[in-house]
Amino acid sequence: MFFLLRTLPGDLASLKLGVDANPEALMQVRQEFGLDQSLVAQYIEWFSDAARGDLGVSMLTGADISQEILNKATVTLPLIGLASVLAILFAVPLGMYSALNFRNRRGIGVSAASQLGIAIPTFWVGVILITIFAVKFQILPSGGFPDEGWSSWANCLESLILPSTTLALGQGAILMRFARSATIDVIQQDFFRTARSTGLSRGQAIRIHGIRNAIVPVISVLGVQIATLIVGAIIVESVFSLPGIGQMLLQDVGIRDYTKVQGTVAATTAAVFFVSFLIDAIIALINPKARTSQ
Amino acid sequence: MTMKIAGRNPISIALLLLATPLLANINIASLGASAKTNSTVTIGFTLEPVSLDISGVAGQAIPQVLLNNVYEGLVKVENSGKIVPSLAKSYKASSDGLTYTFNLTKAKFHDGSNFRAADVVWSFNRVLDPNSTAVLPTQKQQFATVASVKAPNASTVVFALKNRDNDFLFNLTQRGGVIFKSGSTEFATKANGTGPFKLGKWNRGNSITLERNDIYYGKKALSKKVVFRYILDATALSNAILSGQIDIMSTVQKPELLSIFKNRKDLKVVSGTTNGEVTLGMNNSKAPLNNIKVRQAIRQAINKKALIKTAWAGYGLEIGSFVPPTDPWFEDLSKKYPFNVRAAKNLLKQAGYPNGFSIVLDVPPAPYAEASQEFIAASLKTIGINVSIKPVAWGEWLDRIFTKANYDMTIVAHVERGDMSIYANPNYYFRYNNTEYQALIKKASSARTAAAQTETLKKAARLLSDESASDWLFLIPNLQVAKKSVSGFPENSVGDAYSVAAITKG
Repeated sequence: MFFLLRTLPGDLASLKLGVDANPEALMQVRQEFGLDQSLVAQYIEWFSDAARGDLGVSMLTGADISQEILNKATVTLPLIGLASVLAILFAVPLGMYSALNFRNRRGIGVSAASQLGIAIPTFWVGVILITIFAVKFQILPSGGFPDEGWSSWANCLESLILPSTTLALGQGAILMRFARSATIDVIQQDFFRTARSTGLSRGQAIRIHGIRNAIVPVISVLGVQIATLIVGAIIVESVFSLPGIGQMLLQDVGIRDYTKVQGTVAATTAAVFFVSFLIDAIIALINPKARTSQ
Repeated sequence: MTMKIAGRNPISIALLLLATPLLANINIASLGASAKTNSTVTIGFTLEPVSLDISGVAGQAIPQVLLNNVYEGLVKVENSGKIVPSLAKSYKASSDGLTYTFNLTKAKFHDGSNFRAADVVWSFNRVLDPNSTAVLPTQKQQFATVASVKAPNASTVVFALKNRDNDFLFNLTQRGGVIFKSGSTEFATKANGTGPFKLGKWNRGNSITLERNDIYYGKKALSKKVVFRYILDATALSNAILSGQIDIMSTVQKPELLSIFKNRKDLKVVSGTTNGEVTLGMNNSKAPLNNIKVRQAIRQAINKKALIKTAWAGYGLEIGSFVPPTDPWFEDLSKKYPFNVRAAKNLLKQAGYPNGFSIVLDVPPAPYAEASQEFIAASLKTIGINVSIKPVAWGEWLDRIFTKANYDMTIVAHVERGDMSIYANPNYYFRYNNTEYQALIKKASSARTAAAQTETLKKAARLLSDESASDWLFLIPNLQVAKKSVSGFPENSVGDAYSVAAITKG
């Protein structure tokens, strides 16, 4: 990453000074930024600081990078969180519905719709939602995030409805397929038949034995998908002009603010590890098998 | 030598979007003090400043929000192009044009301290200091003719110039001429100016809020708050005005959307002028484009009127040379090399390319360039030139094309006022080297009268057109969309500022 970033044409000094800069001025600014040192030296310096949790300051503005990331996370984290919850909320029931009806038209229809959900690009879903809810009916904002932040939490939630729905539709479509196959799996299992034979109706059997079994693969897939969710968030933030981590990252790559891009990527990677760990823990809570197998 | 080009990158190098409106067409005085309101006006822009350092970091987004709003110069330029007093009550130039004397007005910085002549001297010594990188090279260059800046008393400042400089006063109105409080630091995150607005909250990635300066010495701003909202994505920006989230959309990046705006009863489309010439840059040092006949053939093969219709919804203006119609030395030269495929084919034959050739068109991610690329490729195909279109990112464009001139053709809009001098620099990416043109530009910059300057530049523009150093596709119109209830925003674009003091709503 570190070296890839530096193979991009152009550097911060030339972007700061503009196109008229003379070589001497550029050299001077590069020295200020430490860009004149060897790549290895730059890497060692950055890595030793980052390992101690010090991501440093932005090369261009001098702002503290950890602070900026935390700041932007107040947009991105709720976005991803809300999207995940929405995705599960619509994937599990629909997946189960489609599984229970997997031989008839309705089940196939839902299943086909999920295929469509996977195929449609995220940004396009976003544009459609904006056109309907923001431009046509003007009931939700087309983008942006309140300047006051979460102190006006209702406005914040309002501005996250369309973006998180956009993100959730794509994710949910994938999750739904897992929920569906897991449920089909469950209703063909012996224990399910046994449950039915004890006198439980199909619906009762599903509620008691089915949901738990169907949700485990969904959540573990969500854990794997978390990186995709972050990539999706970058797109969604751009479509809805949300001032989150994704948009900041795009801008920083544009201005070649190396230290800030490195810091953001490092922090995001750490977050992905953490979330995967968290999801393993959640699965252990839901699924006793995962606990006893250890 | 300066340059500015229009693009759509989040960086705002010296590249920018459409151009930048300056002072509004509106007469502030006629509105009277009673028009002062408590409203908040939100304006949508695409490029956000990467820093607030108006003198040290390139990029047009910085002066767009700060110049004339937060920071002020001794003089400022109005929409008509007229230069009027700002921090200087009045000014006088000596008859030889070498001494300018400014009488300062009584003003206060936003931190409450008094504005003094010493601040002017401090600000300009910063620009003139040859060893400092705190000020952009472009700005230093603009004031290279200044020999000294002195303050004989607390309310007078005297500039001594090394030689006559017809651009001096205009340069004072731009970012290089802003006055800081002496001893200021931390330009990147703070802005202690004298203007009608104070810098409010900068919510990075989202918006900058300006708050009315109630102790302003001049006419107070009409709105209490003005929010500059940054929305990089063109569609998202359009949606913001369509859904009523912003009051003004300062730039229309996709003219094909104009019909939607026109059909809305609550919105108005405003078209002003700019200095932005969309230029089909050709590498004059590389075969076959080093042949004047080839360049002329390319010009005659492209139907500009149809191109404007295709690329910019019919809103652009044909120019035929590198001069915007707001400059006194503008002449419509678009008829000199009119669209004529047969003539173009003939020129190619005379140049020794009867069967045409193949060429690469590097297209930066700018809307006007992307909208024009296919039309140009198809047009040149009709005279046997095979164009392969290659998209390039701005970073690469700056490095490979702008700096190293390693290219055949490219499309970029040059938006700086009075930027004809870029063709006088043989190392500029056009690699156009004509001593006659260079002499004309030099002569114009030291001309003793405005009339002489105008005559000389007219001659230069004609020469440039005859030589077809580039092709000039169209002049970008300054298209904005606003709620009908909003007025007083700058309609034309003649400098770097987007002055908001006269904007009202309701």
